[in-house]
Amino acid sequence: MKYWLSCVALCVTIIVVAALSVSPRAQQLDYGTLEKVFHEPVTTSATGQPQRASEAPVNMTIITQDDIRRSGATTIPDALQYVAGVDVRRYGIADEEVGIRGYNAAYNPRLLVLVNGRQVYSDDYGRVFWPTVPVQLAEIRQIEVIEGPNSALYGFNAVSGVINIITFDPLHDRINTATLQGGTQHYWGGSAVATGQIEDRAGLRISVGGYQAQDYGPANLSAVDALNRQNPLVGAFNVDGRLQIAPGVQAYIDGSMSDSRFAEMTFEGSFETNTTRANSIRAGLSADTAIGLLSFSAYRNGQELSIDSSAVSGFPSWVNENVYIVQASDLLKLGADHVVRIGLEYRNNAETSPGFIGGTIGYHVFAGSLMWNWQITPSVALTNAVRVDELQLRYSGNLAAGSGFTLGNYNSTNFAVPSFNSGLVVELTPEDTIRFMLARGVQVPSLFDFGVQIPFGAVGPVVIAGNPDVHPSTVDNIELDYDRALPAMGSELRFAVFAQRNRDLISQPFAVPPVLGPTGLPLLLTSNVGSSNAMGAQIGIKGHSDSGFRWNVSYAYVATTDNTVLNRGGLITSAINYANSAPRSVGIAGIGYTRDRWELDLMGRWQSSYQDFRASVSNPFLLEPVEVRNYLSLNARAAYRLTDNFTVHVSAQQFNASQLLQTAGPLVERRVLFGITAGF
Amino acid sequence: MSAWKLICRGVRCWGFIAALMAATRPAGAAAPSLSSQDLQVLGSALTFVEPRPAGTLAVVYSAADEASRQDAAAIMTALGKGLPIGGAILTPTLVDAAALGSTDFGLAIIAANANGEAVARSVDARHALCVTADRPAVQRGLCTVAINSAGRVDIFLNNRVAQRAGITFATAFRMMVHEQ
Repeated sequence: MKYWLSCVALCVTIIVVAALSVSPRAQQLDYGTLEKVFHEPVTTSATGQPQRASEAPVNMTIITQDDIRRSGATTIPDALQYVAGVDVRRYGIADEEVGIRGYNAAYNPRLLVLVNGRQVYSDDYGRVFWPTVPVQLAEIRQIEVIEGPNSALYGFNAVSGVINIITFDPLHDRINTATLQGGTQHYWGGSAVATGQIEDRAGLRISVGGYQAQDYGPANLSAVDALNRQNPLVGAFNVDGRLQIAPGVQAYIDGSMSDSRFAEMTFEGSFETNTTRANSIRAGLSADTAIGLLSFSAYRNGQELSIDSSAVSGFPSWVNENVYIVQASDLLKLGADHVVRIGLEYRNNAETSPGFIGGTIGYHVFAGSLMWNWQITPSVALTNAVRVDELQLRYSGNLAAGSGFTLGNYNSTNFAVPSFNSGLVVELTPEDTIRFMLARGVQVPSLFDFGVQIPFGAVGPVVIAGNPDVHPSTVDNIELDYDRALPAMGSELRFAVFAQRNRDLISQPFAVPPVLGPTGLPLLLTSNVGSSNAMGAQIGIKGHSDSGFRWNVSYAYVATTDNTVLNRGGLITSAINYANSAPRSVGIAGIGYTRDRWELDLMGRWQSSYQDFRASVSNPFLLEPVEVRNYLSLNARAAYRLTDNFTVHVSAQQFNASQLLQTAGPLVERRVLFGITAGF
Repeated sequence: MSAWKLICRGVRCWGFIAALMAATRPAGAAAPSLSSQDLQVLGSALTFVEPRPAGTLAVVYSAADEASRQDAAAIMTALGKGLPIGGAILTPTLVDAAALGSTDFGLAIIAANANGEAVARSVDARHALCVTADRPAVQRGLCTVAINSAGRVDIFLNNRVAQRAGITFATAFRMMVHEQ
């Protein structure tokens, strides 16, 4: 640990010294200006290196601010549902689960979600509380969706994909807007974003927003679930400041608070209502120097969670969680053809819960990474990235008697896991690009997986325990993509095929069959439960015309296998069927038109059937499958610009059906929202 | 007029007229080697240059070459009142390559057939940035940047020339262009 802290300290020193003493360069990554230069979005999410989206060695889709606005989305998952390969489960107005390339589930732990590079997923289960992501839709420049593992840049949890939400830059983008909207389900929501700038030297953006609604009706729910569901109430505040200290030297600080209450489907197939208070603070410095683009950042995420459910009544059902992360990197261009990125990261997290953990569980992670991009010829580029994460587990508290583990077992657990990403990008012609990618991603067991401690009799005649010996899960991915620009049609075509092998899948203890523990008590233990393979393909085309039309059509197919020990012999304990946890086929289509003061969009999404689960009414430790049949959902939005500053809009979600069974939760209802937006 | 519409109802006929107009267009109205779109790209790209160009924008031509003169005139037309960079505007002026050494300027756009050793030396002496549509000239070290935004935007940068003139480009920008 001392060695790693020394490395981080050294990096900080180098950055500060470089920033102060080395002749600084011109301004750094200004997304807006670079997009104007290259006529396409730019990104750093693929490799850490600034790249044009078309040259990134990953399968990336970029959802722009225009796309978000035109979709009529009220949440980030709403906007994600139109990306081929992305699955969105809607358990409620606020409770949405997002999966990439299959394997979606309640508390999906396979997705890494970031805001400007800061993690916003929760380490407790590796899940994402989407309503607590403290970003208003109007302040998002773009959402970058990477399909496939990308652990070599981001470390653990970048398994099935990465979603990096990029907000506008307060130094360069002046966003001043306010939106108010309301409609069916007694929905009322609003947001405001304001930016202040001092020439090119400093910028500050503040945003605030929230909504409340009456959630979908309980018609499809058990009496217990209906009782446990409270209506959503969500609010968030965010501040983002950036200071240009000198040409090429920037400092930034951002902070956020969010407060939410919403009903959430759990991995036990039942609902509970979570009240969550989350906050974050981050500071960073970057300097463009003769020895490269040096970056340093440090942040803290905090979260207080209180669970309201009849299943945990009389149980201390609160969970506090903190994570501290320090990152340092140097991005260096060597000659004309080589780019190297060296990165160091330290992570320290801890989750405290007397009821679920029996104390505090946490870990230190020390990581080092290296990325090398080689422009072999003007039209051929090879990128290789490797990262090693070393994890040291620690626990303090009262272990559940009967699990067989001791404090010594926990506090001596450590392991190092390598991951890699390789991508070959070949521009066959100015219109044709192929990408070939190999990757290994790593999913670390969540804090809950490691540390849950529920003694015999607390929730039933069984000991429920985490497992310090559980292995990280690995995902090996191979993929071939082909992009074809069709300038005559103003369109772009993408075709992708991939195959994936998931080893050592991790199951939380409620999902595994009980075993007899060392003390003779029945034991549910976090375990590695087997493997699963996936293969799939995607094809999509999107385009626009000078006359104001835009369109997109895509189709995604993914088939998965279930080689696990779960749900065998008629005993259904796991809420995920690895062979059928997401629709195999998804078709997406959209058409839009902008003319004068009007903006009109129509979007459709069809998906094939899949299997979800809900708790058995007769035995809460068992689940029953729910077959979600294929369905079509049509959304529409119309907006009219009243003046240069005011726009009114109406959006209808799922207007083709008053109710649809989309999950094992409540029937999703048609929604109609009216709103007005002011922009200055 | 309506008779013409009647006669030329077919797309083919309109295409023929467009081709005829293009063929008979006066030589002075030829498309510039750097289009308006290229110049917009340039204006945005210059925010990644340190020191940022200021003062006069020299549109350099070879007086002995008719095509070069015409190209420079077309670039001047495309530039209009000037090239905006951030909050400032660089005012363009036509400069004969032979007179470049005695001209004060902060940015040089080199018209067709005007790149050469003498022009490169003059640009270096002013520590100015050189921009052209002539990619081979950039490859040969005669100019700093070549831009082509017809279809996909391609920017070619000769960093050795930039260093020679004491100009630096943001590292992020250098990673996104074709460097020689």
